[in-house]
Amino acid sequence: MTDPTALIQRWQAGDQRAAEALYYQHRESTFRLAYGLLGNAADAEESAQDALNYALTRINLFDPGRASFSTWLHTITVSRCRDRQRRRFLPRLSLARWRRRGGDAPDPALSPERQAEQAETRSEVWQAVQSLKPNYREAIVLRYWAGHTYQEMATILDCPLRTAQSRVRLAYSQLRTTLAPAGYTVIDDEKAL
Amino acid sequence: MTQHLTEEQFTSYINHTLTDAGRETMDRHLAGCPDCRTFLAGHEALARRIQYDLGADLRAASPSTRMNFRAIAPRMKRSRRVIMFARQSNQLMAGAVTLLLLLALGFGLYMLINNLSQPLPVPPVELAEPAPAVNEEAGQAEGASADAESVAARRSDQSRLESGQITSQALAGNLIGDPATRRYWVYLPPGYDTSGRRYPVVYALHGFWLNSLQLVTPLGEALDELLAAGQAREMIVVYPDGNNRFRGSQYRSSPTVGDYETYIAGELVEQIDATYRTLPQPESRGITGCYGNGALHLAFKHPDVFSVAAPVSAVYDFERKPQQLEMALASYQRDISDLHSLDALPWQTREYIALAAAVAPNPDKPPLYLDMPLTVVDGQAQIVPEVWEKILAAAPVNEVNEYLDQPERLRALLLYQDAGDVSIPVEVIRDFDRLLTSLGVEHELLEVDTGEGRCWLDYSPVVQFMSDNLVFDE
Repeated sequence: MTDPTALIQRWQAGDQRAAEALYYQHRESTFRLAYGLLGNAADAEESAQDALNYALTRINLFDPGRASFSTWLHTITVSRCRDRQRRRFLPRLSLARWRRRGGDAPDPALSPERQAEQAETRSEVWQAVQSLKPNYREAIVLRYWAGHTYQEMATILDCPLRTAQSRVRLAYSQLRTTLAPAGYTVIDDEKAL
Repeated sequence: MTQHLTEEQFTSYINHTLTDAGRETMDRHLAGCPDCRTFLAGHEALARRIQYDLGADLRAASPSTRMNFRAIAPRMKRSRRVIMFARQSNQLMAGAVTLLLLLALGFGLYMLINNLSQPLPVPPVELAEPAPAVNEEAGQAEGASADAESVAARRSDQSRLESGQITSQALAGNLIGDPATRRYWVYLPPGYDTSGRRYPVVYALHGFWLNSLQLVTPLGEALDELLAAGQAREMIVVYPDGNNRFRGSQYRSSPTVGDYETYIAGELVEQIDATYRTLPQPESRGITGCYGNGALHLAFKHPDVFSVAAPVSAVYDFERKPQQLEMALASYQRDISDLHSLDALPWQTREYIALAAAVAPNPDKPPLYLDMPLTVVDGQAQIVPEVWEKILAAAPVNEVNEYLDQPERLRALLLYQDAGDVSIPVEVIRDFDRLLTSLGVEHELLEVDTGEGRCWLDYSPVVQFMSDNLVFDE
């Protein structure tokens, strides 16, 4: 990914073309982070769009001295996804889904069949990660997929450094329990012999 | 060695949450304890698996076309105006307040000096007005939203991944009951939608215990990067599903597993050529694979279909992989003949069983329909020599003669190997290289030492090799 600094400066100065370029530079990765956290493409798309919208409209709040742009964007995305998780417990429909029900052409990328197909082709790791509780899932996705340092994770998750570390350890242990019996028991077996 | 490291220590080690001192203590122990090194290898394998599978799954997911800049542009413009207005207002307000304070001070002094003799008129202060510059700016931006730069930003990320499905007659009716309908993934290069050209195709086979998404990230990223740098030519990459009940078909054919050779080299190639704008000729077809015995097997068997091969981290000689056999024998504590017991075995053992399903099928032995490569005699696991011979015969070192017995030759062959992998001695790779040279088989050997184990390599050399050797013209 190219350095977004020049684009950020141009957008901070008001050049909307720079905002559009920034948007497309981060569109896929923001969606994928949200998808990793939520496990549902439609929800991920809405959360990612919200996060990008917020980040770009509040670009003046971005302080390059405190964090990189992607760390800042990930902080916003995680926050949006947490909101979405909380709202899942409420019996209501998101506005976008409501609109979609109201006659918009269904998007083949998000159709239930397509989602079911996608679910089938996802790995065991994916299933195991999705079965983690939300704060462990955040830790694994940010560390193993996004490759953040623990310091960055502490910023993104708004928690102490040691908490970020312990969440990754606990999440990893849980994944090991889930995944190891199918695949990596050899070492345990051997030690037991 | 008095006491082994704990699970908690391994978890901290693998996730880099130890202090320097803690890590050094563990390193000292690991240096002298083979058991713990083996245990750590299991953790490393799991950590890599999480990283790669999660990466592959997320890379395969893309937002729909609904998620685009146009959808938020109007909102953004409004918020932007408010922010700019507020900022300018704040600046003007701050200026006005300073001015008022200065005037008040001046007024005070004046009054003092003039002894309050004359009243002064209050100076006119213009408070904030909406700055016209902001509106002009927004208007300008609106007119130029389709600027070349933003289009370029989208274009740079335009390679895409599609999935498709094939129903294979060659796999139908396999004894183990694996599905004949399989999903595959296709990488289409950035220019595919606009060029109208035909493209060479590389088939990328996943390894044992893994799935078709395994190579999507490393190979796709290497290709994207080299294309962006202008160092490779555009090609299509197909990621087939070679998995089965034994966690890996070995890309071979038997009544037990089905005919994977025809499924990949015949049916899938035909379907891809019919579906995409490919160059449907052997000169424009390549094959690669991680734990690349399958890729090399198909290349040796079908140079009439694939003309360029770049197997990655292949095991050229099963006989010279002592650690795996040792572990397999240690894990095999009783003869098994059912699927449930199979699932409880470690991958080292199951790889031999998967190979046996492909090379030593036995339709009279349900439910596994194969001759077991291992057996337990007097409480000790042993290899079954007649099955073991068949497994050894399937190693590339023994298949090269069959390749030379048929008339076609590969146009180019790259052996790309992580020589830092401790489970297979580097001499095995170099011996295979020497064997090919002595038989007059043209090839290149690229050895790297990542220290990461096999297959977790940079795939740029594979892309480069394909780009240099495939035929890109119709």
